[in-house]
Amino acid sequence: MLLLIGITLISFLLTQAVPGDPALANLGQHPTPESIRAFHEKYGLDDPLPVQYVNYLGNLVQGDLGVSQQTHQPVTDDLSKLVPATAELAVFAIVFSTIFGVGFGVLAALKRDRAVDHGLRVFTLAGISVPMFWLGLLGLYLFFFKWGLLPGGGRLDPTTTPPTDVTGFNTVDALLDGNLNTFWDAFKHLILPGGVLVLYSVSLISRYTRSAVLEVLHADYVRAARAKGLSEFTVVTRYILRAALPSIVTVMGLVFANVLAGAVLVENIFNWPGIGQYAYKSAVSLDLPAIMGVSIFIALVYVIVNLIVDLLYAVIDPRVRLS
Amino acid sequence: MSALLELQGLSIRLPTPAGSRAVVHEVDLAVEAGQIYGIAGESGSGKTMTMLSLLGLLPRGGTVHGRASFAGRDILSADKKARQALRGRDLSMVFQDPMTSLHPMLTVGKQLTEHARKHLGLSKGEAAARAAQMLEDVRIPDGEAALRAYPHEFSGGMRQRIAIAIALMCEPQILIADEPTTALDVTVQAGILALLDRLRREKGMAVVLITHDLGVMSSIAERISVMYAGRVIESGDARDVLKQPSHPYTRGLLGSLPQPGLGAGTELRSIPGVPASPLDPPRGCAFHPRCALAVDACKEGVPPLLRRGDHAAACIVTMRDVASEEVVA
Ligand SMILES: Nc1ncnc2c1ncn2[C@@H]1O[C@H](COP(=O)(O)OP(=O)(O)O)[C@@H](O)[C@H]1O
Ligand code: SF4
Ligand SMILES: [Mg+2]
Repeated sequence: MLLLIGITLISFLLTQAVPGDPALANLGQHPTPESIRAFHEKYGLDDPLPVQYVNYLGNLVQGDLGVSQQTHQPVTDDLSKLVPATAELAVFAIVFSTIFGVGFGVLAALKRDRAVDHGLRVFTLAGISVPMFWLGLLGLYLFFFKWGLLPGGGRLDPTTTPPTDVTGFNTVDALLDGNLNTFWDAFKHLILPGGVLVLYSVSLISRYTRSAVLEVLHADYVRAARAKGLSEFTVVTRYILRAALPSIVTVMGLVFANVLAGAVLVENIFNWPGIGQYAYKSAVSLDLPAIMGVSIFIALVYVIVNLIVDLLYAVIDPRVRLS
Repeated sequence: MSALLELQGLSIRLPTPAGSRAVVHEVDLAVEAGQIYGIAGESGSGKTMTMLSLLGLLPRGGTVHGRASFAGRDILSADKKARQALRGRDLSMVFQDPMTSLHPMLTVGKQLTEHARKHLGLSKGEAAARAAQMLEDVRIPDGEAALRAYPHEFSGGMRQRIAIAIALMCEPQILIADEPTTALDVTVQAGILALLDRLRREKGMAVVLITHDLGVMSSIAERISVMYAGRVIESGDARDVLKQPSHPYTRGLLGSLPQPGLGAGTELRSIPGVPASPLDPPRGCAFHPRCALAVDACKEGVPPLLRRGDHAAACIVTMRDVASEEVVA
């Protein structure tokens, strides 16, 4: 709670510290002094700062984030329309990067100092150090312009019938409709933006998993498990991976934060109508209510993710439950 | 081949940063069914590696040469699956440190039943019933509740009892106990040893009891082998070895035991010098830098195990009387 107040306060002050008048940024080419004054009055821009902040908080607790100066819609409406798009991208990235990241990490640890390990080290190092926007542009250039294998942006082709809105995830909704064409189109649109996010996350998860596995690989209880005659598969999945799980959960929290940050970039490159694109657009037009709304929403997500991570520690490790 | 477990000329090489090194040399052992076989020796003498090699669990890159048979079957050349089936079923091992040899995040019940279900094809219920019975056998109170508990809820001594119960789940023919009491309180040690002795009698299994403390052996072992720098340097009937130790190293070890009757506070005599590393042993008899009886010839060649009846020792001085016959033979 305290954290949330802090976040609203900081983002509020930050938006105020930005030089430039939102009225000028939003009123087009030739604002008149009257229209500027009207704009200021409408959004309460001339009130003293503490009053503006208290007003904002008062509205916030009623679930009112204000009206976007850009879309002229309530910010909450904008967010609820855009969140599913970003969530679909994030879930895609996190599911695939977890499966492959954990798999690669375990493989690298078990085969350490062999060719597979060296190969994965180069791959993951590249995945972490290559800038996302560069990767995004490269992907766009190769797979869209050059080879025409994948769509260049958006969530669906204009010619594709959108699925019935149930979850807001186009892929899931298309499957619920039983419409494989739409599913395939939605999935193809996910591959490039999702892939850029996956490449980074998979590298991060893989490197953390590798070192977490190496740490427990020679633990006495792993040797004891082998001495019991358990199969190598059981030893790896039930004893080694289980012991490495707390570290993997830690990096998952980190990956989640990175995926959200990366989404801003990726959504703008691939014209993905989500929170990231909205955040960027509202930032360049100094759309204060929208900026505040996005910040608070993302902060809330972070707080929840951290809470989940803490809960998971307790679920995974009985020793944490005691303390 | 009558012995249940028999090693002949078993040698082990391990990779080290400085290249591959022999850490165990030409070990011979024969463990009979139902017997307690003691293996003694200072830390680093190769006791653990010898046992791990039997299970096929040497550190990565480790190699083993020589012969080892279990119940008449060659185990070193057996394939992976066959060795896996042997482990935890016919040949079980309990490790030194009970604080680290149980998985901290898995319930005691899970760790007790998993391998029994695999090896014996038990159902969940059957395995749980057997596990509760095993916990009772090792004197863990309220076995049913203990099955649902996690290792950190138990003391060190209790955990070692649990580890023993895990090793006994499939009623193995041999239990290898690698320094099972070293990490425990002195007050708890006697209880664990008594437990091993009772279980051996009740279940008719053999126990290989490893320790660096010969005192532990005196009460329960039938036969003893003493290792130094990767070699067996003395072996024989437990009473013979303990009453009339033939190798100066064994004599030294026994000299450093607290003598009954001398009372508390008596200073222990310990062997001067540092234990030889099997990675880089001194030439000739590895014990010569620490040996009061050493002669020049001791630096020449590695002394063979010389037999006086059933009792063997690798010393050219104390076994001088039999040395000439052996050399001729
Ligand atoms: N993982 C390893 N790699 C290389 N050498 C090892 C390894 N573990 C043990 N050793 C060496 O093998 C020798 C025998 O060790 P070990 O069998 O554990 O002795 P003990 O059980 O009698 O204390 C030691 O001298 C040690 O230096
Ligand atoms: S062979 Fe020589 S050095 Fe080795 S124990 Fe005997 S007397 Fe001592
Ligand atoms: Mg040892």
